[in-house]
Amino acid sequence: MIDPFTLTLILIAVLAIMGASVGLSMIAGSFVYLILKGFDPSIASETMLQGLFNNYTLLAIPLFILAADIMNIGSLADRLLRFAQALVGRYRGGLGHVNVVSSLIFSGMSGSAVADAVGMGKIIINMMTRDGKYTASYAAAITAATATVGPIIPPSIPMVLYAIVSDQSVGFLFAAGMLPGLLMAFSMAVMNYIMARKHNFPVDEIVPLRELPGITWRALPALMLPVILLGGIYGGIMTPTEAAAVAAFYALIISVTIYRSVSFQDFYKALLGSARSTANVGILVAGAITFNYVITRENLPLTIAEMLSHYELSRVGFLIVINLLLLALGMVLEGGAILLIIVPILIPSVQAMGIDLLHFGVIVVVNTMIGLITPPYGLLLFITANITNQPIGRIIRDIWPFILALMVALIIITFVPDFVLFLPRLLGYQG
Amino acid sequence: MGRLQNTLGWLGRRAENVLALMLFSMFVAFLLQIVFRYFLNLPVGWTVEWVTIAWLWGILFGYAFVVREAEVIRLDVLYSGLPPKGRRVLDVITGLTLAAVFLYTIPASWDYISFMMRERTAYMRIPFFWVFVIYIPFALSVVVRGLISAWVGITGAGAKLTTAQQAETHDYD
Amino acid sequence: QDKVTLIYSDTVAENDPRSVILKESFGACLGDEFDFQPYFGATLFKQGTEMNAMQRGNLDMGNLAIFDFYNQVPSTSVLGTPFLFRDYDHMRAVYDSDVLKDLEAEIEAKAEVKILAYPYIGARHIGYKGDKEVMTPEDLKGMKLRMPPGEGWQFIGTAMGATPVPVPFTEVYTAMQTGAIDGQDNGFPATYSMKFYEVMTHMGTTAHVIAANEFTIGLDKWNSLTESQQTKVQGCADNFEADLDAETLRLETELRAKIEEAGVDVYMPDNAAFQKHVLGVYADSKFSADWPEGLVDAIVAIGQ
Ligand code: NA
Ligand code: NA
Repeated sequence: MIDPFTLTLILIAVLAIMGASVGLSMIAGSFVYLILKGFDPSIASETMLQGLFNNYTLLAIPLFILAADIMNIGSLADRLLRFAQALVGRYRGGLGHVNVVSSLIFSGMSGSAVADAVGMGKIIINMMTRDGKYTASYAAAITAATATVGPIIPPSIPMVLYAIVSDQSVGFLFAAGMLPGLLMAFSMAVMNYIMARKHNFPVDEIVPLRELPGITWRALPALMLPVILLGGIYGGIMTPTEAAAVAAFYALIISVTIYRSVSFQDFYKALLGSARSTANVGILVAGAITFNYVITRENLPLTIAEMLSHYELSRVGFLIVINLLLLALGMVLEGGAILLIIVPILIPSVQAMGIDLLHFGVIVVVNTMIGLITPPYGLLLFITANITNQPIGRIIRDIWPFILALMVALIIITFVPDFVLFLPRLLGYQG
Repeated sequence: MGRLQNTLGWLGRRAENVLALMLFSMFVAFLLQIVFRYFLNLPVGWTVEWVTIAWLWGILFGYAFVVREAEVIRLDVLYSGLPPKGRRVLDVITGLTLAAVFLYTIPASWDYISFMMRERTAYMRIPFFWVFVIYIPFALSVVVRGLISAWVGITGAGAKLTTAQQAETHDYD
Repeated sequence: QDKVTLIYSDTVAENDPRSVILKESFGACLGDEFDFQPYFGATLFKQGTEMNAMQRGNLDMGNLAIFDFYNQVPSTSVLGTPFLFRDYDHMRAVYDSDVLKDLEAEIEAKAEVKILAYPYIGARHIGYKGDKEVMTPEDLKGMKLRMPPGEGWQFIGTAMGATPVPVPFTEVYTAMQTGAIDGQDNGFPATYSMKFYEVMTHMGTTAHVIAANEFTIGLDKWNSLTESQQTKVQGCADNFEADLDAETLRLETELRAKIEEAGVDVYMPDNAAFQKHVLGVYADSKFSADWPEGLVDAIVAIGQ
């Protein structure tokens, strides 16, 4: 006779692999666990309802999604691209660098890699492939790769999810992502330079320097958002949760007043689209919360921590194992699912290893972002494939160098904790 | 048949209106909260409570009546690789399993939700029953959608759900 | 023979000293007849939902806060009133007396749970950045004092004369550092462990809240025990209360010294003035609407 817990794990895995909603599979599995144990099945619905109701940090998610969706309806992306072009278009592989820089700027305004790729993807890919300057697959690959920076630079929805499961401060997590995000962008710019030399990519049209101030001025309202967000959070004007609402408000205001590109229809569509995404990811959150009762009742996180302690892994060995595990999971799972389902099980082990939870959070989020561009399941690959009509296989061929570049950044992020923790400590983080 | 479809379509759009309105109210409530606290120096508590309720309702109501099957977060590595016949088999199995589990547990869940009539929220003093009762339509919709998905699997073509086509709706990642 | 299973849920973390004491002084004390299964860190049931879980038979025991009782037994709000107790000894004397007998009977009748003990978890004081010692409610005027989110907590700040600001616990340090708030109201342990003392200059030992938990068991569970089992559970609960009291007091003394060493001016405000003012504000507010007749006077009298 298999014990109820094992049976539950099998049921959830089978339902999920067969294509059922991951969130509903976990809720259903939790119900079945309670029934098999002879407990009150309403514990699952209670855990789910109370868990969704009692979590202030969660409330940032819908508003960060809304902020990104509002930015994507305006002409913000055009202006940012124009700015990036004036800045770095003059170097070899120019539009590739423009891609990196505009992703970096966009990442300061939105909390989602998917939203970044959707918002900028079409325009930058068009720019790159016009006149056959770059192959469509290279344009798709670099667009997907650079979008991964989105949730590393604040704001960030994945960081909010991590904050919830690890009980860390969203504000410090945001600060911790800053330098790693810049490092990732830098490593991809280097890779683009190498590829540009190899394939002899062109220099972009050179924007005269005297036009730079004007272009910067027009892009300035957009460039200001990350400053406002971090200033607001660290200036004590708003909590990170409220910052999400401010980001959405700011995007709306500059889109309506300065860029004059948002109609009521557009705004309604953004609202509805964000609400849909919220409901969808919300069910995943609900499933994770519910299932968490089961793994707690079975003491799974502690069992795993004890199991791991038998291997007597060193801290370095442990971090290598964790990174490999997360990268492997990232190939087949969504980032949100990894953060909500897998990470809570690992946290006691991480603590037992004496690894800082803020540092670990950045490692986890970087891994899940790399997961968005690794086959077979990579949301950013799907999006750029849809935009370019390229087969995913060809994009994958062009994206490997960038995955390599991100791996180099990941190694530094993993093994130089001071690099990640420098900025949070500057802001008062104790750890 | 055409009439029923029209009515359902109309109801679907009204559900979308309601859902969009819930998110809009969260947005406004947060802004009010900041304005009240930092500009008028009047901390208010009902805003957070309102946002929390709108979030809970938005998820369960939205998932029940607005989110399409194609947008759902699923692991479709195996599923999208199968021919339509294989998908139909999986649709039948998963649809029936989810429908059965959610249907069977509705009485117990209802028991908890009605029990919560005795507890109230901190600010608006709303009985938790009214906050949590949205779970019941949500669970019923899971049952109905599971049955429909199984029925379509038995009688018609397998659903053509691949995340690859809908990836941009996953804009929280 | 079957052991008696006792499932217990707590909001405190597993590695917190309080959890260690619970496992020793209560769990181990119970002996072979019981299977005590504690879950920590609010992982099994969310904070504030433990009583419902006990009432529904899904949980046997919990360590509750007095606010958790309010919805079902409104008169319990009296025990959450700030400045109700003068100090630790006063608080302990009240809980050891039979002045709360009627209230406890009302809890058992209405909420179907039984309070076994009231372990002391510490006193809350005001810690702030400023240029003078706050002695009276008048001095607190205009101070942005972080109080835990929630109407009841916020009103404590108002009643003391400050401007309460609800900031999440994890964001308090930054908020103090940047000046978004002037102060916060945690006790010595949290002030030390969260390093709040680094960003404050003064700590006035108002002891405005002298907090005890309600160490509680579901009434059905209690009634299912034999008389000797009940005696055992009650005895171990008393044991836990005594040990946690001693540990809390020891920790407060030790950490007070460390915070003083760090250069914070730790002093005693005019607490009599605070008590008079705050109890007055409460008596005139909706928060006293459910107080049992004469109970506050009886409690205050024990302290004289
Ligand atoms: Na970002
Ligand atoms: Na992947």
